[in-house]
Amino acid sequence: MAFNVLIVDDSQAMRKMIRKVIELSGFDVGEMYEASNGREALDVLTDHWVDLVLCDVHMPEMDGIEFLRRVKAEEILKGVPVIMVTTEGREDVLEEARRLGAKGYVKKPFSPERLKETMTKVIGEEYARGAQG
Amino acid sequence: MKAVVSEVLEEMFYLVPDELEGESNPGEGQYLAEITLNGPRRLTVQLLFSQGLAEEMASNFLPDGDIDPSLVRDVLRETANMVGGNLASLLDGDWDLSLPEVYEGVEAQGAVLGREPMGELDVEGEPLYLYVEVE
Repeated sequence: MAFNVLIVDDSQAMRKMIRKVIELSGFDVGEMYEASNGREALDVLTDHWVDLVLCDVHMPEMDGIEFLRRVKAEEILKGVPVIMVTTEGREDVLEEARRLGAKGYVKKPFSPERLKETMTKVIGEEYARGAQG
Repeated sequence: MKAVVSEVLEEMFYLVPDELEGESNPGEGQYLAEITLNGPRRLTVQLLFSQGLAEEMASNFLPDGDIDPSLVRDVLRETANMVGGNLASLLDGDWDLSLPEVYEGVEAQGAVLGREPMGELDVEGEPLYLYVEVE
């Protein structure tokens, strides 16, 4: 079954690059949405069904950590898996992301294979969990 | 610094840098990408790209035919972000990154005027000059 993806990054070029990787990866993707910060991403999640979010940490207006905090606080959104795609390497920040529910982490720079592997792992786990539930 | 820049170029842009041999000429730099690391000290990292290198990076990074000047600048901003983030993770202490900036043409040249680059790379025939300012 096709899944919908939301790409959140303040760099338009990075969003385009990630979109290209996903398109070439052979995933059965339905819609791909984009947002340039956490606030825009919340708007997308409010208006559309999204199965997976790929999210940067450092963004103006609302960063990725605050976005995770808002997602976790919303009953209807907190089950949406989020993968952090970021240059952030500080363990305390990554630990906070995990505590707030981030399911995966891809450090920039990354190879297309690395992004694909992480997406497969997270989507696979989530779908398996849904099938069991 | 060179190792971090090389990793970013190879992983994200499929470009393999080497030491620049022959005449150094930072005057051929067209774009300057800059990011500041604030921590135990203040480090400003600047990357000076030739026009050809900037366009090749954007071309390798983005879907075919999807390149305009604003996207070239965006690619260079993201490059500075990745270099800064990975450099910070190698340094002791807690470092915050500024949002990256890109300057073009005279502004780019003015930002490094009179300074010696700390590194010079040949990226498949195009030059890349590296500057670091420590405060």
